[in-house]
Amino acid sequence: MLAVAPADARAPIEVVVKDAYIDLHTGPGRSYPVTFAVERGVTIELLRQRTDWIEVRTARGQRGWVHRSQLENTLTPEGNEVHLSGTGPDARTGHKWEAGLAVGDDKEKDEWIADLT
Amino acid sequence: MDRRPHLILLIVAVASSTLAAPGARAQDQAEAAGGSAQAPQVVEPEVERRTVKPVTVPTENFEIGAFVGIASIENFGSNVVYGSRIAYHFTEDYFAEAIVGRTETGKTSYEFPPGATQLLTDGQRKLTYGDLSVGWNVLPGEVFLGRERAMPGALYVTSGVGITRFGGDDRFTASFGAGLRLLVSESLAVHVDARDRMFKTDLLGRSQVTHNLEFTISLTAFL
Repeated sequence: MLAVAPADARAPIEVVVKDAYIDLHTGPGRSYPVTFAVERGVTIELLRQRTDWIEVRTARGQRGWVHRSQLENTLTPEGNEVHLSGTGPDARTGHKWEAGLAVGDDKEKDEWIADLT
Repeated sequence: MDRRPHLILLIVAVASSTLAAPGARAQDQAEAAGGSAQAPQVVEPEVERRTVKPVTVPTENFEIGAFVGIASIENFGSNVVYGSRIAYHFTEDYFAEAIVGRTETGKTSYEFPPGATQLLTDGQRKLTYGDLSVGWNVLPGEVFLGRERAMPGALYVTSGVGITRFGGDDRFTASFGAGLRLLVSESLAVHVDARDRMFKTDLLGRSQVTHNLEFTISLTAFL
């Protein structure tokens, strides 16, 4: 629901809230309380992202963490689509590698063994 | 003459596939923009092309830090332990963590009497470990320090495997632990952890699984 207009990599990432409102949590997680709500049409700045949560700042200086789902599928002020990078399941469907670990007890040698694959 | 229907079908097929090709439409638009003297299209395409600009918000999913604490090595006393840790947070609930640490062990009760045989050399008394764990933020939420200050935090549990080098041997180690993470600033966190590292040893004459408890405090930074 947001959009971005970064002229360069270090420019502030600003988007306009497109949902009816977004919830600003005190921390990057659903368990942290909501202290602000920002309504549609307000421009906010995207500061950082931890897992699926993005810290935002309003023009009035209010800060909080918003879930990615409330910020994607949005448009920039120019009408461009915005894709937020994510660490959720969707972002991992195209993975190229994975690791496995097997742990057991070797009775003959009387010691534990582990096998990394 | 029998081949004429086939020829017609072929022409229709080639023509339709050409029209369906994305490049063909772009070419048509380019020609139209160039002002070529073609007959006006009956239906003007109303496809608005949107530019997709991926937003790259700086991510902070890595957490790196150092810890210090006390490690109790079964039969070998308690001593200061120190080390470093790095974690990657997959989601708000789960993370993976690698830890390396080192401590110095003391003497067993067998070694205290004057003239008693020493089980280990000084070098063998150094204990070094490294392990990989997965963690689960069981109880995330705010923690209140006094009346004025609230900090985001999480109580988590971890489980992992690794290697302990002790007594001149490398021993497979399983670890279980729990900890509290408090975000003291935008990017800094303080952890208080308790862990049990279990490995088999026969240093005292018979093979046994030892439980080695460790209590640490850490300072980490999100990167």
